[in-house]
Amino acid sequence: MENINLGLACLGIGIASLGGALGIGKLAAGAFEAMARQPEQSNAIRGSMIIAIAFVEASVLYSLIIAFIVITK
Amino acid sequence: MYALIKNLVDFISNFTNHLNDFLLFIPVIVLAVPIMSPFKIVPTRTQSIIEIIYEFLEDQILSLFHKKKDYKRWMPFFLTIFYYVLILNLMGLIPGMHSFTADLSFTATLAVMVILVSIGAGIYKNGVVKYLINLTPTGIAPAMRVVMFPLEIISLMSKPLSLSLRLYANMFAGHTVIKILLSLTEIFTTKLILPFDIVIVTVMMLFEVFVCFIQAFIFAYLSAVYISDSLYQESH
Repeated sequence: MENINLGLACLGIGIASLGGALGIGKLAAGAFEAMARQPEQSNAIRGSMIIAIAFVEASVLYSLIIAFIVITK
Repeated sequence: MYALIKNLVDFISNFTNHLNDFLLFIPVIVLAVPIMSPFKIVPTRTQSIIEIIYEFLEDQILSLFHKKKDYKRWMPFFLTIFYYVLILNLMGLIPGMHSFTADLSFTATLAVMVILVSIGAGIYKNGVVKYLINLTPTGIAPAMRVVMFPLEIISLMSKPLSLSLRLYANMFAGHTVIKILLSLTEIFTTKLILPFDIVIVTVMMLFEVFVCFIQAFIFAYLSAVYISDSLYQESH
């Protein structure tokens, strides 16, 4: 029980990954449906999807940084 | 001669934590000399690569800046930010070198500079009072605008925070994950995992190259969004 910080950090990063994976999945689903409707614009849709994925991943990596700080203290 | 160089390196490296890596910039500068020849109309190969990156940025930023005169004035600034962040990111992937954007001080400096430039450009164009009044949206009642003013100030202060943390977290987490994956034989205490280790680390390094490009582009694009936001405040 004296090392509860490590366990809570692991739990925190697990929940953050859950939110990130859900967000990216929903985003990719919308992008695939749009690319199926209009295949001639797949390049623009793919570019916007990658930019949006970078934003979602940044939100997940914020909590990874905090987990690193907790683990190394 | 050796003592002179040693004293110079010690003097410079005592200022910050990582400034003793400034000698690592020398290969980057040496590699950049062939690119600095004047541009021809029929492009050579290196010029074509630079033009691909330039056109990608130009497509995105031209849709933000309405007037061509402003676009021609501001484009070198965003291109400088993009290439600076890109080269600093890519330097971390070469073995033996260290990327400076994996420090919060570097990214925070760039982000604060971008926000100060955006506030300064807005104040230079409209004046201080008009800039602060136009931070809140225009079509609503004045009492509601007074209430929304602290929220807008908080959102303005959170922009450099998120801008710097996004780049720092991506770079630092990427390097740390690769370091952990490289020591997989120690964690599993067996050497049988070595083939999987090589494959996994190679895939992660390729993903890191991709992340370097994307994060540099997002930094430049978001700084263009913030600056065009405060330049064209009336026509939101």
